[in-house]
Amino acid sequence: MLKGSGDIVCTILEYLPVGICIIDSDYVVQIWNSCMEQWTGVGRDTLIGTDLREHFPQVKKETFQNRIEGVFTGGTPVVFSSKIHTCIFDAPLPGGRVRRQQTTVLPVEYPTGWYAMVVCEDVTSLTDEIQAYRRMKDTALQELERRERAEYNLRVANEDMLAYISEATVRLKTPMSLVEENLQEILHEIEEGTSTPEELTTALKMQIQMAATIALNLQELNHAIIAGKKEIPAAYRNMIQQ
Amino acid sequence: MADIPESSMDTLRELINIGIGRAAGTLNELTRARVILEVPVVELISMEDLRNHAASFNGRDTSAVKIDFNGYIAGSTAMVFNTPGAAALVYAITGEEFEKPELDVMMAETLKEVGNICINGVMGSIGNILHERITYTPPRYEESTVEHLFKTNTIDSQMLIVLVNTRFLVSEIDVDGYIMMLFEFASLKNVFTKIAQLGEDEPC
Amino acid sequence: MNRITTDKLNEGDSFLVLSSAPMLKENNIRLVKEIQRLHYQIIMITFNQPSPILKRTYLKNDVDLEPIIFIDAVSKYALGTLPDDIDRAVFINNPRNLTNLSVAISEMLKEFKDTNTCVILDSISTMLIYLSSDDISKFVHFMTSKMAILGMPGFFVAVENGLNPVLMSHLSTFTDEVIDFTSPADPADD
Repeated sequence: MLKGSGDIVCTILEYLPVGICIIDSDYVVQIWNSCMEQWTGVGRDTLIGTDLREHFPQVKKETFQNRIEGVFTGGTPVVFSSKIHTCIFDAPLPGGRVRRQQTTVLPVEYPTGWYAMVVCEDVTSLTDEIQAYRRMKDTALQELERRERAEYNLRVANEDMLAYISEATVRLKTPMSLVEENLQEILHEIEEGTSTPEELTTALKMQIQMAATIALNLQELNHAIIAGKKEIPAAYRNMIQQ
Repeated sequence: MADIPESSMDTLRELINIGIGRAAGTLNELTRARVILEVPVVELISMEDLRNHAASFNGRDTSAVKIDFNGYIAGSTAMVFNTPGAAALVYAITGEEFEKPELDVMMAETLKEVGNICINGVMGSIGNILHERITYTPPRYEESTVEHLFKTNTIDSQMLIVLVNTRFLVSEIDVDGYIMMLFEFASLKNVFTKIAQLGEDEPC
Repeated sequence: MNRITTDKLNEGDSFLVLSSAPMLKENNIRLVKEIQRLHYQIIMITFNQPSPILKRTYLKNDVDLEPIIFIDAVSKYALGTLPDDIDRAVFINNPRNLTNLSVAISEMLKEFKDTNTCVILDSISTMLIYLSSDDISKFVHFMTSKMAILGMPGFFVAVENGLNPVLMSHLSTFTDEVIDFTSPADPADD
């Protein structure tokens, strides 16, 4: 049995903020520091001198034992990550949540032989932070994607609208000039007396019809701008794309 | 290097192959995914040669798990991946969907275990024939170029690297990994001496 | 001023004729006279003026009506019925109905195939009242292609600066030459 008191190393191990457990090749607990006591709720008086496997099912597993076998002959240290194992020791957090642990098993040589020092780090907060960061990053990326999509759609809609207005303007401006010219012509003919009433009637009917159609076009434009038309005809979209 | 008989190299290869096989077995026990480690290709090269080798990943940053050892043999062993490959491997082993070609702290921790299993397999195999006292540092995760990976080691011109290239096949991905064992020349000589003795002790 | 020559007409070239808005009517007469001088018959597709009014205008300006056939796209729509004078004219129900117009034009072109006949469309700018630039572009493309196959020359009249730039660009591409009627006629041409 390793000395538990009066030994400077043991004192240091006692107060480290990580869980420390030292076992011999028969899994008999030699040292169980206060951090382990606090985390597991199992006192050193209960554990020291007993088989660790009897207290913690994960330690009893063949996979665990096979992994650390070499440690008892001075072999390479062994790592158990929290992602794959979650925890080696049952050590719930105050709220009852699982305490996620990263565990390293190191060979320790003593005059009486090789021992395994199990070093257990609580990585629960770190895991929580990383998961929160990931969620935040995902949310931010999704939001960015949504905004970019919205901006793009707005840009397309604006371009479509500009194209539509441009087209509508052309379809109003010149025809209005033509109607004006034609009416001037009709007025001139009335003044000169160069046309028959029937001819004047036909000409006026023609201009009335043109003016009415222009008014309809203007109404459509008004609709599109003020009523917030979302469906811009493909013809106008094609125009700007050309 | 020319002094090392091919039969000794073959034995070393076999030891490493056994170690890799053991590592594959352990990984399969632990993980949700089926992991296959291909038969490794083993070479003995100098530090100089490593710079121009594919294992240097063209001077790009890598993700590595490294241990140092001392005693009967001295040196370092690292399991090295290119970072996107390491990320893909971790996602595949933990059964998660691939997200990004980088490792955060938790993923690095998982890679540390994977690397530890592989290094332990190989070092354990070699340690088994040495029967000598060797001390090891705990494994640590590092991100750096291959050149900088061994910078903290005392480099002399006589240091040699046993380079083990193995391919990890997990789910639909395959990732190239390199185990690099950097030995002081005297240490490597000790290893081959033990290997040679092994050959003498075995019946014909 | 660009001259319209027999050679160009014989080659079946198509022309974009640019006019100012106030001079549109006058330039119509000018164009018709130029073509008649070269002894070509005319298929006049009119959007701007009803055919009876155009005929009277031509008569007042000493234009020979005999070699002119009208495709009147506006009279029936504007007046609600056929006009009294329907001589030498085909009437389209609605200027928006390009299908009917295309059919009428195709029939007319077939009838005048292998004769010295050209087509005048007056005007693209007036068509804009009823149709979008895109539809007009497609229609003009259809017409120029059809006429090129038949080797028949065509004239598309438009008000300068009264077209959307994209349509203007298309019309310039579809036609072989642009004729500028925005400057006054040269008396030497008469």
